[in-house]
Amino acid sequence: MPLPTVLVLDHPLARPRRLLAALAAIGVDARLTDTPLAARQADVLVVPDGEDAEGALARGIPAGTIDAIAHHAARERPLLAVGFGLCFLLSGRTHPAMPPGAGVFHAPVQHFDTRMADEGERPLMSPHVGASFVVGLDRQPALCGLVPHGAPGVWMHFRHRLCAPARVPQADVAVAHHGVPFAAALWRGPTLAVQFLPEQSGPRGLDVLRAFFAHPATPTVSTPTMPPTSTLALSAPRTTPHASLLGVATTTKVS
Amino acid sequence: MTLARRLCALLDVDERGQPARSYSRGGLDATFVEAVAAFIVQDGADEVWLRASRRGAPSSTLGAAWTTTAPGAPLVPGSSDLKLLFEPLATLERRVFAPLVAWAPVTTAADARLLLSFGADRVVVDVHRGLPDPVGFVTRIVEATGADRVTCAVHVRRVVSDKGMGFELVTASHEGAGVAALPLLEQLAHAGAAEILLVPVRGAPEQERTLHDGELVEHAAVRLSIPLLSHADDVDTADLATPLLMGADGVVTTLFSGGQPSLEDVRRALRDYGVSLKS
Repeated sequence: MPLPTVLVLDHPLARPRRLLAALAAIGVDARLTDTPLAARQADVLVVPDGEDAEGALARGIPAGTIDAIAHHAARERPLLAVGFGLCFLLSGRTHPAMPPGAGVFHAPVQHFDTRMADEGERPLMSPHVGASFVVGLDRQPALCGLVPHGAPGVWMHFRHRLCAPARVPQADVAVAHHGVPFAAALWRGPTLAVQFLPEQSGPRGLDVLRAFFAHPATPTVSTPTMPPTSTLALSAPRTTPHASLLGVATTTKVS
Repeated sequence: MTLARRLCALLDVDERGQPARSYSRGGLDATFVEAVAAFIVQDGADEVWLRASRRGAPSSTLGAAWTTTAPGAPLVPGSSDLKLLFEPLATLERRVFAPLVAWAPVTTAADARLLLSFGADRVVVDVHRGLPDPVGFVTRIVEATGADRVTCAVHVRRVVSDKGMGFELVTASHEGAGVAALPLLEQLAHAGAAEILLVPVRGAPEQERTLHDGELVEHAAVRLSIPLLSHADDVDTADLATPLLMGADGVVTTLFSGGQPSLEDVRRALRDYGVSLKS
């Protein structure tokens, strides 16, 4: 059986290199595509992080990029959006020059307001850069094993100016806080969107990617090219349904 | 507390392309930049910074000719060719999944783009290299690299004038540039700098090393809505506490490049000081 196709959607604002490297490190053979038509053929579609500064957004992206994401989501195939890619799944526009979002999640795009002060009484930083605490990932079946038992959440690396609100209708949300609470991760069905950057969050970030692509239903796990880098990953239950599509080597039985 | 202060591990890469300090911890020895960086990230560093450095006796200005490169000669940070970082960056891009920052003598937008193309997530631009127009210099680089890719290193010294104590940008030869540092920081933020790295210069000739300037950090932090980092010649955990307690969003330090102290020990000690860090 041929391996299912994992495509990373390239577009004029995308910065996919580190994500591609991270996917390769966990044994996922992902390819880059910059054509929306090819993206429609993907079994698993990955929307990477990208530039979200005002000047970059003003350059815009082709509407076909968003259409390809919407088409993929409508077919209920596994979809992973990372960083700025999350905003493509929301409703409305990130900028007047950008096409409307795919509307996978019915929530508007929000900006951090630098007129606000942070908890240290400093101007609120935008972009929000660094490690922030994410609460609620343990409610996501695939990611619950990443949160240490008894811990309220995990630290993940962020870099973004735009975000989704902390409440999104008909979706589950894990929340982080930067002046205001915002969605650090959103999921519904086979779609997972994370505002944090797994490819820059160290071993735990790789565990997030690994969990998304792991196989749960036939109690098997994929064999990564590199061993899991955190002990958490070794004990984490693999419960995401996505990797059944991948067909990546599934040799390790979980009893 | 929701946003953790950053501990950025700085590795000096010497003219041979190897770590300037040997790394040893828990029976593990590492002699390659890639191995040291991997150990440090495994240990919990928030970011890995690589700085091209050179052993030798400096001439009057940084980046100028060097009289010797003998192994025993003192290390002069940030003095060497940027191509020293190409190979480590290309390797680390595929192996280390934490932000990678390259600090080399960037003098043009092409230099910055080159470092990014080899795998750096951000490049450090020494602002004084753009004198007499440091803001225009940074603007040109940001336009070429895109947003969030440029960290501005601002080398600063204290000055006393008839208006009282202030802070001044210094040149590569550590002479006053006649540019007030605090307004410059705001201009750099408007020019598109992703973050500011404060590098205080040695306050007096008899000082053995540079120290973080807590007052400078405090003044700068309230003016900026971009991250503020601080760098000095740290020798123990207490050195890191000052800037973090005064408002810096992170510290860039070579303290971890030898393997001791461990990041975990430093985190524990800093938490005792009241600094918020990721666990």
